[in-house]
Amino acid sequence: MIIERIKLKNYRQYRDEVIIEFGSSEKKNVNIIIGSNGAGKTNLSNAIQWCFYGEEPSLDKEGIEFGILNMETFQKLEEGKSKEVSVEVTFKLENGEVYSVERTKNIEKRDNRQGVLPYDGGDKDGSRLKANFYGRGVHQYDENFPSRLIDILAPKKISEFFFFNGERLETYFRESISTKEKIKDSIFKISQLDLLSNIKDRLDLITREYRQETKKLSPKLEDLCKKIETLENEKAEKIQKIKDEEKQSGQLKEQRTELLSKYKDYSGSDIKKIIEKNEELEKKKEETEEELVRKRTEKREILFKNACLFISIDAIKKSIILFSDARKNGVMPPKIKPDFIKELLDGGACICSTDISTKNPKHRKKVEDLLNKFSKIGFHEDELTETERDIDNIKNIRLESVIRELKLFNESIKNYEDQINYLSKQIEENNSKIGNKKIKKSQIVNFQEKIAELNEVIERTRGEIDTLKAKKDEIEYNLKTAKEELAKENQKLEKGKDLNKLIDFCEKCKDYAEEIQSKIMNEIRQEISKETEEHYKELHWKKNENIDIIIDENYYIRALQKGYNKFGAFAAGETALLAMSFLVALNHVSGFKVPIVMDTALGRISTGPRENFANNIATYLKDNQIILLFTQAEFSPEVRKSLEPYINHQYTIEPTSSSALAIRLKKDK
Amino acid sequence: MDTKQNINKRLIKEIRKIDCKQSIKDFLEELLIEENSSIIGYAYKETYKKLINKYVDKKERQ
Repeated sequence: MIIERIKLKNYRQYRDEVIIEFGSSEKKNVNIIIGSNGAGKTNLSNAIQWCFYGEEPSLDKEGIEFGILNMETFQKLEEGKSKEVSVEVTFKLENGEVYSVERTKNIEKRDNRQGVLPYDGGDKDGSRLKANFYGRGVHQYDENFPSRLIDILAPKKISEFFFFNGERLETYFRESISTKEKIKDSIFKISQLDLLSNIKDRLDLITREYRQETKKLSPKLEDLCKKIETLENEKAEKIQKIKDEEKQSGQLKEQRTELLSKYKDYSGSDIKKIIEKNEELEKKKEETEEELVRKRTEKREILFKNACLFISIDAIKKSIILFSDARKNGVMPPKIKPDFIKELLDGGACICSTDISTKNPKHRKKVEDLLNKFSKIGFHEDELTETERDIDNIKNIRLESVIRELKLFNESIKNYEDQINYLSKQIEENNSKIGNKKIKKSQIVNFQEKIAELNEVIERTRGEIDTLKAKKDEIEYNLKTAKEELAKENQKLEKGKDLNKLIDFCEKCKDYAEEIQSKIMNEIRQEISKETEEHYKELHWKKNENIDIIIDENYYIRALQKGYNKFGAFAAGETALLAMSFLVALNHVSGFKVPIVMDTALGRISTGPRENFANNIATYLKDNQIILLFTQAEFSPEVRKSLEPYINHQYTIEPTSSSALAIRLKKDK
Repeated sequence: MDTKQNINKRLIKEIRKIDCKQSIKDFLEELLIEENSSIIGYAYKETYKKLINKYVDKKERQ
């Protein structure tokens, strides 16, 4: 199936009529639409899905709020008037037949809101689907059932496998149902094994009806039929219980896998020792840091307490120098006491009998000068001597002792700092040994307790499953015996013989359907597992990582590296790549050659795998038409270069100059 | 358009491969087509009964 043309009329951003031509050939199977976020790329994917299935699965909040009719058209619409929205998809089948399907919805403006005017015989949402055959090829399609055409060509139940949403790829394996269920469900849907399930269910129902008829033939047969019915119900109940328990067990195992993968670096005993040692070192470091803070505070207190001393230290030093100079010069203590000189002056005679009275001013002046020289110090000698002693004391005793004390503090501080540095280094070394992840022993203990708890519950669930299976086997044995007995009894009656044949035929067919179903399921699982691994390895940027991707018999996806399951620890980009690989593999085994629409497929993927994707996608899906909806950032020059040889059509979505609510499409190629 | 063309070919292949009477193979294959082409999601019970009667050997029954 190849989409040749999409015609959008007033659908969301696509105002008036916008026609987009697509193509696909053996060598050029890629079509590209480029547009910024919110430009209308996702709504193009929504448009196709709305046309096919009447649903828009990837609508954003704004889309829901705005309504399906183009906002600008709606704004211009008069109150009470209506306008049609339509999307028409024209496609060509492998055998050359060309069809178009068109969904239309009539929107009325009511109280400035978008109301639907439903069509007679339209779908539940009021829209209408029409299909047309264009006369090329042989028309074998029933026009009365347009949705049937789509259901045969691109069934809705598996549409998620050809309408990829890149934004959702990283959560693909982590959505509501457990991964195991998701994988099993995907394989089941894509392989159409539900058809066989339907067959089994219907045959079961019909077998029960035949037995009801048998019941009426004789009282003994009635008893036997009742017994079989009871046993069948018990069997169904046990099967359901087993399924529930297995589902629960699967979820528990997933939890365990995630935990183990999160704490895989910490599960060994050596690691535990290192962590214990680190916790000890951390504690010691903390104590030392506290001690350091205490010492620094004490030092600061001493500095504050002796602030005056430190402020006046220059003055003290200067004073000491002055005293010392005074002593050197003989000024202190004075050689002659000023009182004695004064007495000589008062007496007017020197000790050498020289007249120093006022009558002999020359000699008197000499003695007076001497008095002046010694009187400055001489009269205050005692106080000065005391001050000199005090200053000496301050310098020699108090200051020296404070300095000594401070030196001791500085030494202690330095010691503590060295100790802290040493401890930090040791902690860092230990951390690097366990992968530089900060973790506490309590977390390890919690983890180990949780794992033990999970193991216990898993073990208990497994025990319950085994018990249920044993009970189911017993019921099956009783059922077989009862059925054989019923067949024997039936043989005795003419009509019973007839019913016997029918029941026997239905039972056999049911068993064969079951056998085929499990065989195909198993084969497809292995194929998808293999192909997913191949694609993932090709797309992944770390070529030397050597990861084995396995979907095991219980439908768990595992990413094994050196025996560890890395899947739980996958980065968002890795999960997206894995999901993409899985979806491509599913498409291959599906047998459906449906166009693959990939919206923002590379949004969450880094540069390396982006280029790998661009190099490989056209060949991976060589049998399918591919429509890639890219942002400018995704469509990098490297991606463009790799895809170039495969591009059939290329467009850029641009906002119109008049409004942001409508777009125009520029054909690039 | 052939409704059979969109049945996973592996299903038909496996049915043809199983070791059983041809009537069972044909019956299952026909059921598969009925189920796949059903508009309501599953084939009618009456269709099944008609097919069962068609494939269960009349002589054998009598």
